Amino acid sequence: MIMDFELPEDAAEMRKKARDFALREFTPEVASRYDIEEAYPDDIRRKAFSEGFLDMSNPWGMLVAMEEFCRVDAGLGLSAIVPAFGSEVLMLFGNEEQKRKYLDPVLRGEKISGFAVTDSGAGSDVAGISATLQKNADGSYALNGQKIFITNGAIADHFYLLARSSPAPPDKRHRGLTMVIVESKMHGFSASQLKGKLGMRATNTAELNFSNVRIPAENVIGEEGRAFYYVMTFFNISRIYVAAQALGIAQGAFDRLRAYIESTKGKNDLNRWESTQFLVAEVASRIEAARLLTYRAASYLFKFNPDPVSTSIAKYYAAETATYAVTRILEFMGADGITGDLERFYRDSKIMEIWEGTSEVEKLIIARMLDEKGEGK
Amino acid sequence: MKLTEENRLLLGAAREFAEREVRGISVEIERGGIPPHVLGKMAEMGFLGATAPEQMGGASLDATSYLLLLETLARYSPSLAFYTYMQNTLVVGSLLHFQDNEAARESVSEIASGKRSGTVVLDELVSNTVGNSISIGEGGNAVSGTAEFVIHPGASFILLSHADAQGSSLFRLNGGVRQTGENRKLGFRGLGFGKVTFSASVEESLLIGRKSGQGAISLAAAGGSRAVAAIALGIAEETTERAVAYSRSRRTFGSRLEEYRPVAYSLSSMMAETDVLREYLYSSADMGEKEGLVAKLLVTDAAVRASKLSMQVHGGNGYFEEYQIEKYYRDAMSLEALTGNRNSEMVSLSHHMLGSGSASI
Repeated sequence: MIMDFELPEDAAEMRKKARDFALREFTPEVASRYDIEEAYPDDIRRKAFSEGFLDMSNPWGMLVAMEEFCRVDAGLGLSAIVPAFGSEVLMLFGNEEQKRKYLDPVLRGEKISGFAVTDSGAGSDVAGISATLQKNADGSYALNGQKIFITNGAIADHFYLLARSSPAPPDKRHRGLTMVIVESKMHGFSASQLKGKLGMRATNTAELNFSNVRIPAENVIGEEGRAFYYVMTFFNISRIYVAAQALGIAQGAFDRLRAYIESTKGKNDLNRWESTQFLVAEVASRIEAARLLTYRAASYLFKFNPDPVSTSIAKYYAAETATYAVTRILEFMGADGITGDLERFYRDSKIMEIWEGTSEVEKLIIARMLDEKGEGK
Repeated sequence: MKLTEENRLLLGAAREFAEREVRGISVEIERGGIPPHVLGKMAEMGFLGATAPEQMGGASLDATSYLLLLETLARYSPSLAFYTYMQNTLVVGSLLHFQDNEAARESVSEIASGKRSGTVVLDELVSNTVGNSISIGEGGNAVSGTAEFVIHPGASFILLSHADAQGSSLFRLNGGVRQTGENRKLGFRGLGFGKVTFSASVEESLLIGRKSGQGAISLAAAGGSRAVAAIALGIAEETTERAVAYSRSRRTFGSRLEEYRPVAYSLSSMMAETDVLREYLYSSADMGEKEGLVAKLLVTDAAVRASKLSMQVHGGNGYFEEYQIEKYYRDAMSLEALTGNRNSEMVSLSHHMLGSGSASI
């Protein structure tokens, strides 16, 4: 049997459709305005939804749409697809009533969700979070604590939120964590947008605070105390989408490099130098490698057989490729680079190495899981 | 590295000034530009005429002291350091090619006293796709045309070189200059940046002087490689130190970041690298163009990597304005683009190292 490097046909169509949409909607002027204002593009979110880009039944379609969107502008691109952020957790571990109440409105484009894990004391160290859930006499819970850097934080209608519901047994810190659905209109909940981000400024990022927020027992996702596993399962999905974002950024920077070189033809014709040709070849090779790794990890996931090693390799490599590509190209384009679209790509790309697992965390996962698998497995 | 008494005095004064006047407003500078009162104090300290001769009101600093000043300012506010570099290296540096000219001497004193600020049209920054077009009217000095990428276009006067078959003329335009485009640039946002259109009358444009060979501004820029390297060094050191401090206080998985080998290796390597580069920069402070170019290429590259490392160590916190790492990250990447073009500098380096037959294909 031969290996098939072609995307499914409907994904190839979706890629073209996403590219057309992004070129039409994410013009440099629009992208620049949302970047400067740090505003969430709700109109673009609605348009993207009505054109069918948020279709969780078509994961390949969403993956290539993410890539093509970020290729034109990462901030707007992610904003257009991120309204259902965290939904996979509910799909996999939620009950029917929770799905009806919280997931369906998101999938209908009526509500926005968020995924809240990180707090000011713990990012990579998920089990180190400080938010707490305490059981009330009536079976409900009291939620206390804070979260930071939460995507959709100030615009989401509800969050899938991780908190500690019982003290961790020694050396078993991942136990005792519970995920609950928190509505932003619940009493005691507040969100404030965090401004002054380096990049991805069209996306909404917030700090969340909860003071004795009453969480009904029916809002616990899955089993109490088991949520560390849910979060890790979710990251194995979301990391592939981050790899696609990074891939899009790298490809977008590369598109701009080629257009730039093209624009110098007949003037100072930069392409005549072998140094220019090497730059093109080096960046192109890295991007192609990142793309193959990303699609390979995605193909395992979409066949319901995710491979965390492949996923972490893809996320780590694609993220590093994004910053590598943009840095090399900016260095080449000099003043033309830091004043154009590409300066935004430089700012947007760095977060790829940080969110959904820093490069360091990905490397630890890769090494430790390879070790667990043992030789030859 | 051995500092002279003069170097130490300058370093102490620069640090004290930066602590007192700059630390608290470094984010504000990025948002709204350098406050005039800070520039007034800079002038009082002699920083704006750091390289100008004493008889023109300057501080006449030696090469090492000037680099120490830029390095120190860059740690607190790269924008302010860049402004200082512009006034000294580029503006005063260009004017000092024509010390016989009274207007040139007068302009230098005005820069040193902070009465006026200057800027230059840097040929090295000409876009690869849209060139500058400047022409000098016949029968007078009227200057017209456009220039891309002018830093600090709101300056009181602008210097530009105009080359012809006989050599190059330096003009000072006191008026007839209009900013016609604003570039939102990656870094150094405390300084304006944009396209400028000239239509200066004979009265508004003064011929400062003519010289054969390379223009005064290009020469000043080429001679200023070390100054750029000093700014890059300040950025590299500051971001690295901040990352080190963070790695000592931030705990993850129950331990301080610095206890993890990958973090410790990266930080200690970066510290070692900045140490070596610092030694090189200062030990070659009085040497020629080649050593300056080496310093600029290596230190600007190190600054980009140091700021990236610092961002990675700071994680999500580094991504936000408050921690200021994101500013250094932007500034480090912009520094070289705002002071030249890496491709042409690599060609120069090759010519210095290998001879003029190299790097031609």
